[in-house]
Amino acid sequence: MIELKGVSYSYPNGHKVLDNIDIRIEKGSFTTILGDNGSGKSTLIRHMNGLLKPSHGVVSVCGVDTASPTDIWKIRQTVGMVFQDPHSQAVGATVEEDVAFGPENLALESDEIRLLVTNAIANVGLECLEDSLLMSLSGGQLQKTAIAGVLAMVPEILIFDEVTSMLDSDSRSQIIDIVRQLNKRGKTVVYVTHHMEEALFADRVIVLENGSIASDGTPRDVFREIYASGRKVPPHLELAFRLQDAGMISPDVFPVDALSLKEEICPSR
Amino acid sequence: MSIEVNGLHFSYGKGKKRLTILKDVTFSVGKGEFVGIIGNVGCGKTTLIKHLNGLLVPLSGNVTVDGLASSKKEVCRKVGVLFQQPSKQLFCKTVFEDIAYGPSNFGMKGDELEHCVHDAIEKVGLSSDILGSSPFSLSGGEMRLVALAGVLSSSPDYLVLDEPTSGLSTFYKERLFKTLELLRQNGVGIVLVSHHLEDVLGVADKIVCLNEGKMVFEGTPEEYLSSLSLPAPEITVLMRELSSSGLAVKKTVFSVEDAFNEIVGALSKKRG
Repeated sequence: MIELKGVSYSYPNGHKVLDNIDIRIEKGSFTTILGDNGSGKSTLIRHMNGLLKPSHGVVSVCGVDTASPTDIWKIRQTVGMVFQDPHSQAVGATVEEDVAFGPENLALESDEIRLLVTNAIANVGLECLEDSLLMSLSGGQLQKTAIAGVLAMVPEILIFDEVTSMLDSDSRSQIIDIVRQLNKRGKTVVYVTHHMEEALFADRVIVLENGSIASDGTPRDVFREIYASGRKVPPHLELAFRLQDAGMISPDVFPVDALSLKEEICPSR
Repeated sequence: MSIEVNGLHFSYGKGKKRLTILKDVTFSVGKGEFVGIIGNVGCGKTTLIKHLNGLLVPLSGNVTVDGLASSKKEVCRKVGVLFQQPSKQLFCKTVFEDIAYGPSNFGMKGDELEHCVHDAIEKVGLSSDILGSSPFSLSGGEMRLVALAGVLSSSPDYLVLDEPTSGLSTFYKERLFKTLELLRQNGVGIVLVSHHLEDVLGVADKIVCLNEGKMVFEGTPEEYLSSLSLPAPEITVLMRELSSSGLAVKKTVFSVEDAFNEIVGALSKKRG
């Protein structure tokens, strides 16, 4: 679906942000990208829908080169992107108007726009707030509106750039559930986050360090590697690894949350 | 010497459109004390901290800083605030100018100003190599630390931080907490507003929990963890579950280290 081959990127001042990146994102997969601030995560994903063009190397989306000026709009429709700050993505006065903004710009028939908007709003569970003013919404509701706005364009691939970093824990879990549901319904997902626990549900985790790929594998392998190098992993996972190393629980388990770890330590009858 | 918040009420709008944000909030922050304010989005945390340096004035009740009403001009210098979105707090062409903005407005110049800026950037753990860069060319984490350096350069007696860890990687988060611990040791009173419980429970002397504008809890982290009606960290939830399944572990634990020792002890005893 998306392929980056030998991609490097430098800012005009010469500062190199990405260095020789090779990544292939498969159709229907759920890939999480982790990395410290400044590691190149945001720059990397901005290459995946042609917002940035590589200084070296090639990026293609469904076989189409993002450097091709004639195909860029098709690529942007194929790859939808949701950003960190929901306020900066809001364009309409109400939820419905905001979600309709994309399809309206495609000059579709009004019945078709209505259908796309209704479906997109239902996908994020905002049916009861369709006519609400954006200014009256919470951060979590605004972020769901932003996701619906992208879904209304019916993209095949969805890229989420730290979409939960400004939300509280309840809104965070709701957004993650929506992303997981979208992936289960066939959308290809690339999810950038600082919250390591959000990476546990992915098929694949890529860790960026100083513009290069430091790790790439299943959550189980990548988190073991991070833990072995002495860096922080989610608290319940650190506890699980320590209990495994002390021979207290099976070395084969990979608990995705605290309650699954509880079952390993003290199974319910 | 302290920040005293007494019976604070605040609402926006009038008549039928009145929206009450804070209802009878009372707590204090002493010098060298670390107070964590916890609550979900929309509970009034940000409105509350805007009262601590006089950005908002209470509709009823009062806020004083070292005995001065919070609306007094001197309070702005005593209480430094780091807002959630650092980009809104940065506005100069270079990192140096941004950090120097506060102290130069208070009349500092020359070598003293130079020294003050270098001291502030060092305090937040960033390299002085970035002083000539535009603050907007930095990563999100670096921008937040530069904004913090800009607050620290005016040497506030109290530091208020609104969700300072959102968007910060583990590396920068650890760096931030080291800086806060040093400031606390130097007698700075700290108010940390966060919805990440683990961030607050491990460092705060006192926890204040807000729900829909009302204070629903004030006490030590230990007391907070003992209350079953309040949101708990993941590890505490695990320990409570283990305890109700019959494993003899302490339920108020929230750190991995303590949880590990508790579980190993209990399992070893159980398995003989």
